[in-house]
Amino acid sequence: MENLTEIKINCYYKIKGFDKNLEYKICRRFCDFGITKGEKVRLKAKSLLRRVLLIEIRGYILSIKSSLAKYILVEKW
Amino acid sequence: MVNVILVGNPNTGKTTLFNSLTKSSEHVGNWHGVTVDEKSKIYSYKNQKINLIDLPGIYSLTPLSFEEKVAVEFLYSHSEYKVINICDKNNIQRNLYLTLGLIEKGFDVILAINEIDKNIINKIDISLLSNELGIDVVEINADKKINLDKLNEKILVKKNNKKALNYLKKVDFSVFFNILNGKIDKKDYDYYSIKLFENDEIIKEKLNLSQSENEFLKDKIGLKTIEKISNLRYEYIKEISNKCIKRSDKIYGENKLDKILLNKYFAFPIFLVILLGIFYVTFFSFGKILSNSLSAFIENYVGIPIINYLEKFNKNSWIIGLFEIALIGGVGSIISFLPQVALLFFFLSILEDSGYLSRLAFVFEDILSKVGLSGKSVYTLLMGFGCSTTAVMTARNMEDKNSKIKTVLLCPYMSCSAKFPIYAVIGGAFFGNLNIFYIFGLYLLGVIIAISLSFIYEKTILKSKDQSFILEFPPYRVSSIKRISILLFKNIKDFIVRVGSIIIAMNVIIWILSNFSFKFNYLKNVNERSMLESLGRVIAPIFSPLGFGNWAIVASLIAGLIAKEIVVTSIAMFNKIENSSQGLISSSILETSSLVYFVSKSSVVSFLVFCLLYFPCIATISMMKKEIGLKWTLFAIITQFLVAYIVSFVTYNILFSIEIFGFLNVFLVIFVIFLIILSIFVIRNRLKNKNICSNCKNLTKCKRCKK
Repeated sequence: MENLTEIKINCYYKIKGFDKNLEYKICRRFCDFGITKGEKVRLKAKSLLRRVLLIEIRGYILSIKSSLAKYILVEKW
Repeated sequence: MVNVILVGNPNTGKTTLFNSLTKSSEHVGNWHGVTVDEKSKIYSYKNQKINLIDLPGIYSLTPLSFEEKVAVEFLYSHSEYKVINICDKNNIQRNLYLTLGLIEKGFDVILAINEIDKNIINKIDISLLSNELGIDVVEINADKKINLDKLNEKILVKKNNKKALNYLKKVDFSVFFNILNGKIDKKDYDYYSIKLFENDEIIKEKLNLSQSENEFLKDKIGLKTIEKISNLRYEYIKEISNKCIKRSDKIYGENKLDKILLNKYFAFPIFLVILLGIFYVTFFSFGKILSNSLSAFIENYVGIPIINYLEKFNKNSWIIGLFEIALIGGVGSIISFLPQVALLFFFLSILEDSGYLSRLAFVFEDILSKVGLSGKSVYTLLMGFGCSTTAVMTARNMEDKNSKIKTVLLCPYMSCSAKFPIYAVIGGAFFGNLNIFYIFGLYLLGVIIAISLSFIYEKTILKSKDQSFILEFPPYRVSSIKRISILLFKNIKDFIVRVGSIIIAMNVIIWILSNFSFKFNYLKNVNERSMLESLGRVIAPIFSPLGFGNWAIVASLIAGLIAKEIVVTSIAMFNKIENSSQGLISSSILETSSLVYFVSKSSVVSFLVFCLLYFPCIATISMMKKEIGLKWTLFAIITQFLVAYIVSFVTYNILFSIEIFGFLNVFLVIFVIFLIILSIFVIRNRLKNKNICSNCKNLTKCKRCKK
């Protein structure tokens, strides 16, 4: 399974779940932002040093740090 | 009186609604976390008093950053208050997540759906939504004050029969009943159980759990339970969305502009150009014309008539001196900067409203996270260009204490608007039209020093935790004329009040100290040293290595601690400028007969650098004390002085050597010193690596030799 940092730009993926090492408080924050299992996600862009990703989820745009995004596991939509 | 709390996701227009309902002018912007603490105001509707409380934005009832904590703790301690949950109409699906949380907690909720943007993404069937959720729903436009009466009506109605939401029925709450038994009211069991499943720290703290209970919890909760609870909420949201909301396929916050503004290679240059443009318009082209016209106006219609009037009186009376120099010369010289200060705030607020700052946070996260800050610090640091005092407060959107302290410590290095008059008057005298480069250089120097210090703090005393940087992109928006005019009016008023109170008072004090001796004789009539001169001469030698050991300059720097503009007004007073013109002050510091004069360009640059970096002003110091405590505030004051001293010392000596020995020679010497330091580092690293066996060389911790 791939994580969010490894996927192709501008393709749709489906969130499979979270890595088991994810901190509880970050997991809650993901949930607050609607990053949940089964949701459709698209990687829009990466920053210059690839430390931040720009993703589309639930119809809006979110910037998220790669060090957090790597806990989000996805598969092709 | 009815107590009402405004709650909602960040950047959904809570403060806009607060301002509209209570007719206030609290600060708003298109950014997450403009409001960082609670504010309340009482207004009346139909003879009923309503106490409205505005809270910082939250995403759920489980906080992460400091400002969210303020909001959630307030909510928990006032659970009997009515709640207006404000949502952004175009992003309601995400916003409803918080709404469900509030309903679960048992709040008496009114859902206010705010239409912020003209491009409508969602069409909502209000009455159906109200039925589904079992709460009052009102569609409003907080900015244009549409349907606010409807909202007020709903506030006055007390609702008792709440509809039970069934989506959490699938969860077995009985697991925690043993833990909760006797600790809380029975009706709160369900809510506390949900929060325990989510491993909510605040709730756990409230329950004061024993060790065995904590062990029990550890067994029962985990990522799976957190996910499960949130999935149930989202499933329910999807269910009601399908019934009540028609969504177009537009994406909230997406804009074609981002392709250019966020481009890997163009993002930085574009930002620099925008910043340079703002500085150019504010300080040089348009701003300067406005400033000169205001200066001429004050001179012709206020300054000269008063001076002519005063001529009739005895010139040797101290009252006349005080009027002419402390009030007309001193205050007049600073008031002409008003248009420029107002323009700077104008541009900063346009930036703030535009939604560009969230994009900047994305662009700068790369660099800033390397020095232990977060992209979110961009907002605080940019606001620092306006006023450090207000910028310091915005650091509350950090999650981690060390990052917050660090951001606060760095704020004063951003050159605030009060320092600009110093650069314009002193720099203008020596550099003329080239001054724009010197001024931009000073702003840049402030930023570079702030970033380097952050790097040093990160490696030594203020190591920050990895910040969980997740930020929503708001749509691009254009500020309304109404908002800009309110903001301009507020800033102009602030500036005039500042000049009218603290600056006049300080000018009078400085004038008295510099015109009377310790025997309290007026110096125009006797030949003695003034009180300020006697004191200044004791301290002045400390500054000789920086190129400005003149007592009057030192005295103006000390006076500037109260407010940075006073550096300029006190220089005007020392040089006995009886007029409000900036040009006169500039030309006076070139003359060796003046009290304040500079001999060389190197000492001017050194002085400007010192002004940029030395102590924060009194207002900022008191705000810092409130935000990060006395210990860190003292630390900030001491380090700022040291940094200012060292940087000025180095600048002065390098520039002074260039003046004497020529550029090439000095460059060579610096280059050689740089090479020596570099080679020391290389040799040291080589020696270090020798002690590690070749197998473990690439590991961070050597497994074999256990080093």
